[in-house]
Parts: sequence; C-alpha cells; structure tokens
Amino acid sequence: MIAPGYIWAAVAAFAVFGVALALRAARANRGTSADYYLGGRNIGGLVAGLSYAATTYSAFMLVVLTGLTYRGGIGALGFELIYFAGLTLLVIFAPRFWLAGKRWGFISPAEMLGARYGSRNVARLAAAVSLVFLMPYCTTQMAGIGLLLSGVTGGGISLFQAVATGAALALFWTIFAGLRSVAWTDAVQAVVMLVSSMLAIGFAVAAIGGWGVFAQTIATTQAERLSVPGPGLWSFSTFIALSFPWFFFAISNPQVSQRLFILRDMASMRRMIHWVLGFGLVFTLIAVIWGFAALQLAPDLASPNMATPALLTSGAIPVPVAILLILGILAAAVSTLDSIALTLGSMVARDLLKDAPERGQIMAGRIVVVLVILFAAGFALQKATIVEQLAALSAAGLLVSVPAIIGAFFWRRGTAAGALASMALGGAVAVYMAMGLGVSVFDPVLAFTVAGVSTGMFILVSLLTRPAPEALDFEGELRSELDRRGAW
Amino acid sequence: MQERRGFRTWLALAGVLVLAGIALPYGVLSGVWTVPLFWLGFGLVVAVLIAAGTKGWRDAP
Repeated sequence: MIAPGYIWAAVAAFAVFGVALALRAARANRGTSADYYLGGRNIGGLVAGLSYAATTYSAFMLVVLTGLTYRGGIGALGFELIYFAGLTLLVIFAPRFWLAGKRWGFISPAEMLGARYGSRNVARLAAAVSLVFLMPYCTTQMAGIGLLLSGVTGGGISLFQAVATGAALALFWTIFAGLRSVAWTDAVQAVVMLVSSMLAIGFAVAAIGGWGVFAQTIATTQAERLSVPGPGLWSFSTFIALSFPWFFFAISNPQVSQRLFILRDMASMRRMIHWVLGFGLVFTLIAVIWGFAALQLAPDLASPNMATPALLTSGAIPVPVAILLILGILAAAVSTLDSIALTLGSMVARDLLKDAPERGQIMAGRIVVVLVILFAAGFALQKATIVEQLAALSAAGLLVSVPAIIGAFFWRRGTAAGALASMALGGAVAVYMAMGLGVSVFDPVLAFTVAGVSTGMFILVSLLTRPAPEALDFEGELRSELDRRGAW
Repeated sequence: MQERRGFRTWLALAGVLVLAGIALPYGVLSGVWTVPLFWLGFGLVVAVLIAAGTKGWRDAP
C-alpha cells in the first residue's frame, strides 16, 4: 500500500500548478462566449492535440482497458484500435466542422446542427441527448478516481475524499477561464499521463526480467490471451458490440468534436491530428502492456478493474513512479471530466439560452459546469444503478446524433423533422432496450438497433418532409472553401 | 480552385483497412504472436493513412 500522505502531497503540488496555469489562462480571456468556450478560436496544434488526447483518453484506459486486457487478453488492443481507426473520420469532418464554426460563429456542435437544419429544436434536442448520456459518463470518471485512490491506499483515502478531490480540481480548472484553462491543463496532464505510464511500464517489465522474459512468459503462460476470442471475453459479437459505437466517437461525442472549433488554422488542425495519432497509439499500447504485466505481477485478482491498483502496490513500481502514475490517471479522469462539463455548459448556454447576453451565457455555462461536476460526484458516491447503466450506454446512446451530423454535410435533403425523429426515437430505443429490456452493451443488437432506427428515421422522415427555408446549405456553401484549403 | 483528388481511393482504403482489422484476427490469423503483431501493424497503417489524408491541407492565402 502507498501511504495517503505521499499521495496528498503530490496531488496538492499538482493542484497548485494547475490552478496557477488556470489563473494565467484567465488573464488571456476577453469576456466573450467564443473566448470562454473556444479559447478565441486561436488554439495551436500542439495544445489542441494534447488537449484532445487527454479528453478522449480518459481514466478508462489505465483502469478499464487494462482490466479488459487482464480479463480477456489481446482483444482489448483490437477494440481500442478500432476506436483509433475512427479518427479517420477527422480527415472528412474536421475541416467541415472548423469552417462551419468560423463562418457562422458556432460554439457548440448542437448549435451547428440547429442552424444547419433551420430549427432551434434540433439544437435543443442534440444538447439534451448529450446531457442524458454524458453526465453519467462523468460519474464513471469520478468513480475511477475513487477506485484508484482508495485501492492504492487500502482505503486510507476514502471514496468521498477521492471524489471530492477530483471534483475540486475539475471545477478550478474549468470555471475560471473556460476552454483556455482546460486546454492548457489538459496539455500538461497529457504529458504527465504519457511520461508516468511509460516510466511505470519500464519498471514493471524490468521487475519481470526484461522485455524478452516478459514476452516469453506471456507466450508460455498466457498464450490463449494472445489471440481472439481468448479466454472468452472477446467473442466476435462482444468485439463488434463495443467497437461499432466507439468507432464514431470523434463525431458523436461533443466534448471532442467541439475541439474542432478551437483551432487557429488548417496547419494547427493537421498538427493536432498528428499529436492525437502519436499519443493515442502509444497510450493504447501502454494500457494493454500494463494489463499483461499485471497478469504476471498481480495474478488471480477477483476484479480485473483492480489490476492497476494491484500492480502499483505490487512492489515492482517504485513509490515515486507509482505516485506519478496515480497523478497521470487522476489527470486523465479530470481532463475528461472538465472537458465534458465545459461542453455541456456551452450547450446549455448557447442552445437552451440562446437569447441571453454574452455575459449571461458565460455565467449560465459556469453554473452548468458546477452542476455537472456536483452531479457526477454525488452519483459516484451513491453508486446509483441507473447512472451506471446510462454511463455504459453512453457510446451507443450518442450514436443517435451521427446520422444528423453526416447528413448535415452530405445530404441536402435532410430535414429538421428527420433529425428530430432520428435523435428522439433513437435515444428512446437505446434507453428502452438497455434499461427496459435489459439488453447488454456487450450485445451488438443494442448498438445496431439504435443505429438502424436513428438512420432509418432520419432518412424516412426527411423524405416525407421539406427542409426549413432558413436551413443552411453546408454542402454547397463550404465546398469552395474546402477546395481552397485542400480538404476533401 | 481545383478539387483535391483521391478521396474515393482513400475512403476505400480506409474501409478495407477497418474491415481487415476485424475480419483477419477473427477469421484468418493464428499463432502465438500473430494477432498482436497484426494489430500493431494495423495501428501504424491507420496512422499513416490519416496522416496521408491531411497531407494536402493548406491555409488559404
């Protein structure tokens, strides 16, 4: 076990550094919504890339993905790499999001959809769908922090203390300066995540006897886990059930697609994507190797999700490195949490309170940020079943916005009624199947039914209705700009 | 301004790559390190394909 005092000291030092960075970021803000929610649309490629990476690669990686590797083997790598392959969507959609954001001044992806289809109700429903499925996801980040800190200290840090720490950090780093402080702290956190995990892997593999012994031991004792379906978890249907909704993460999750509005120029966008690719590939490999190392250094765990705390306290990782990695995982959770809170804040401010003045929109966003973080903290402590179910459903649930997003750029015939029917019915089907009928997120029927219903409704209802006169024509109006900037 | 070419080829490659990333490990590959090495190569090729897709991007004068 690690003494709680060491962890508190490290968290305090990290918090002071983060707060100083957030206050510095606050001085650069000029008081507009675009400044607060998008950093003035002037964020460079390095900071945007690290911020995107820290937001998308959450505590899930070194807690859940490591646990999935521990339980089921190499299928976890394939699943995460199919998600990684979903970044190909950025080649198609990133320039379109960015150009549309610049041209019409969009702050949130929901606002963009509302303008495209000429209906504020589309924006409101897109924001509501995000709230329903992303707020519970925030709860899992909080729960991850609790699991980690109480696990490595043998309960020396209580769940309440761990959750309160995560909530305080996310609040401080979001509320002062919005996106600018979130992006800057994200960038630092991404570096901490990567450096600490690489160091920890090095020590874990050294404790096993070096890379050669590590590989040989896996091949002789865990050979089944080096193929799919492995010991059973990664059946073909489970793999498809998890991979399919995650493939669309880059456009379905507003906390990452909103990052496409913050960029300074096309060069920054290209650099951002390159940073995400490099970070994502390395971090994915680390999480999976970490799981295989846990199998050797901490075998026979009752709960695979305890693989990381067990490995950190196995004695193989020096305490300073273990504490650095704990900070890295804490950082991963907080960076995802604060980004989601800020995005949800911007959606409520812009899509539900569109007529409020700029200062009012920023204040409303701040209030939502506080509420989202308090909600996540409260439900993480209560361990409410309904929240856990909705969190597991988030990837499949957010799929319902994908037909309307693709249609916004590639199908002029798509209508507001089609988008509304697609998101409303798709979302209802997702919730009913998962919570009413008890269909597991490990069953591909869930994601494919949700995707099928939302796509079918979008096409059918659009064909039966007429586009609104005030609807924007993204396809026609952005084409010349896309050509001028060398984008497809 | 001329439209940038090659989108259909790139899209077809991306589609084939993603399908191969699922079908080959589950349907064809066997052997102790074959699947991990295949997926490692898959990840690298995905990164190269995405980088190639962004290569023509430029800031308008």
